[in-house]
Amino acid sequence: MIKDKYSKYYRSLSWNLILTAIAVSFTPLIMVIGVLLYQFNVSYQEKTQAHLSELVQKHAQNIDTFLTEKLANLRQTSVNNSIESLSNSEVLREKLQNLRSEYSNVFVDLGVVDDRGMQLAYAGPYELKNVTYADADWFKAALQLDMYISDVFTGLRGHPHFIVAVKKHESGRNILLRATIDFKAFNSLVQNLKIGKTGYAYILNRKGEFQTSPPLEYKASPTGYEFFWNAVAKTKNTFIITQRKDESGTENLYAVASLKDGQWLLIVKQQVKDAFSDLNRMQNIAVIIFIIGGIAILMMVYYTTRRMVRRIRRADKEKEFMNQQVIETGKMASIGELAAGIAHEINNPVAIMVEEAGWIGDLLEEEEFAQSSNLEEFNRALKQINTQGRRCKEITHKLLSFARKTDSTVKDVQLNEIITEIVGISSQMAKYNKVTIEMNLQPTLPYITISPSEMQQVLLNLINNALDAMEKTGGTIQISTKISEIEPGHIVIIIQDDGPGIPEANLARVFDPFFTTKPVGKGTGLGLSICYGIINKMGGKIDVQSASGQGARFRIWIPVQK
Amino acid sequence: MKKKKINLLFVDDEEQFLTSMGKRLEAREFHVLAVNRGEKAVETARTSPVDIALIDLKMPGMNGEQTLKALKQEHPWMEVVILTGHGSIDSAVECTQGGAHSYLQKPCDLEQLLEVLKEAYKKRVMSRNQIEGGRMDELLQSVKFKSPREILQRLKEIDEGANNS
Repeated sequence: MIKDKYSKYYRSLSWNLILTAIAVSFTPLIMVIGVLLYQFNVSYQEKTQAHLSELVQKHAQNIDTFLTEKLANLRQTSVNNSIESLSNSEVLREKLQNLRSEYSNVFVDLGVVDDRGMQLAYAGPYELKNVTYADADWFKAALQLDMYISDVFTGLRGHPHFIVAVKKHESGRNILLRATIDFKAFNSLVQNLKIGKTGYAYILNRKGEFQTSPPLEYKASPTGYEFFWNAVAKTKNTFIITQRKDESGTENLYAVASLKDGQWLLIVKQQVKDAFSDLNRMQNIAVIIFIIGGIAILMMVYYTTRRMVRRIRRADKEKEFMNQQVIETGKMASIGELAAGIAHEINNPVAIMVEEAGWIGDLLEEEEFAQSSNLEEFNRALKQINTQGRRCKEITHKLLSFARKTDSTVKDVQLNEIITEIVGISSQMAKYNKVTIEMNLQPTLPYITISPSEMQQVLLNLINNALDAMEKTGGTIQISTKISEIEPGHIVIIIQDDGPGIPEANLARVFDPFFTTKPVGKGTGLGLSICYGIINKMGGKIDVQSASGQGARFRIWIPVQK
Repeated sequence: MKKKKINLLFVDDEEQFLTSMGKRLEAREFHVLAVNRGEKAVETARTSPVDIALIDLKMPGMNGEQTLKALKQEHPWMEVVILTGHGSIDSAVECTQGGAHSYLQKPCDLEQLLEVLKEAYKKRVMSRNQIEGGRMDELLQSVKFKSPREILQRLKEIDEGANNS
């Protein structure tokens, strides 16, 4: 139950962390990429459109110039020559020769047509004599104007061409000087215009007919051409740029300029995909960066969060454990205090009982009781009271030593002073057990930083153990201190007794908690393990050497701080 | 000459213990002055001769340690033995450093107590002898310049002083 509750808590914690981290790291990323892309998009589109419009306008101008130039050439010929000389085919041929050599074969042929449509003279590759143009559209239109450029048409000769005509008025007579412009030369003006991979140009007239060779995809007039005418008419601009779908449904960018006084449209068409291919590539790169970065962030967030939550979890567990330990320690301490209190309080009444019994014993020794038949029984009972009193004393002393509160604050202390104090306390007990304590302390020991209280406990435990061991036999305890030669930077304390020693089988276990060789009720088996714990905590070492019958030798090494 | 009793100042707030232990010690060559407070002990030591003080530690008012200090200050040659039901290493160290001869815990074997008290008395006698040796030297110094009557007078004083202290 508890475990479930905890794992739920940690799961929601990690989700919170993950979501927060993702929000924090993705928001700026998305914003930066978005703003950059938008800005790039806008400026790139502007740039592309500007480029396209410049291109189209330049070309439109070129084409217009080309047309007006050809008209001007023709006009010059017509002005410089009389109708009579022009009507002479020989002269006309010469003129054509001149024009062709001067303008790189753009002019295909020349013809002179009178106002009734009859061709008076002709120079060129086609044998067109005595032809009448009276019904031809271009003738009708050209007669109305001084100068005229026709749409592209197939005409009599069966392939596309267009006509440039100039009207000449001389002594009441009107004639038209007509020239055919090489379609290839004109067409190349437009066909050379290639933009990107899909961009090309063409020219439409008002009827939507191609004035240049139609692109491959078109068999007939492109549909929807009226849109451009309308757009041009509506905006009253000679140039528009727009984006729309063509017949195949592809999105295209159109740049449209009107030509020839608004009779033709130069249309440049490029697929949007192609026009903005750089932009698309840029967008793709941005998206890829975003995805890779995003994945990296997600993975990082996931792993970091997992590690963090795991660490938090461990820390929580440790804290909980510590709390439990603190509670446990607190409990133990209060139990200890209670035990100590009880032990102290019991000591006094027990002492009184024992003394009262002793007093009765004293009284019984007087003569008047010597005759009493129950004297022996009295003495036995008193002795029993005494024995049980001593037992009580042992119990309370055990309790007290178990519950003994030691102050673990460290101080700079002289080890020899502590040893002298403890020996002073123990000497009474030692004398009672017929044990002498000899001290052999090196006088110039450095100060060490330990808890004196804990050191006292260790020494007292070891001395009491030695006294217990020699309870029956008596003997000597030798305590010596010196700078250790085996362990540099340590002081060594050696406590040697000449009691019965510790059997080899037990030697390895004497520091184990609850290990005791004393009779049940006499020892807790904690004394040496407490010593071991305290010395370990000080950063020192304790060991024991012994053999049965040869006494025991405890050595304690305490590090000296620099 | 009858055996001289040892003057024992017995201080314990447990009246019952005071009575029973007192009676037993009284039966064993001790002249027991039993009081139940530290303050009274100090008072008694001023008016009566005391060889050894047997002091409990935990008492209302002046406690054992304070009593020990006060007695040792006023009577440096007096020996003090601590007998307490509230023994601890720290207080044992404090008391032995404060000049206590021994530190025993209740309940205590009478034999052990007697042994300790006798030892304390031996020490007490030795230090008194030293003091008296000093006085004798002083006296001998003064003898050179004084009349026999004055010397007799002085000897009498010393004898009285020895009985009282």
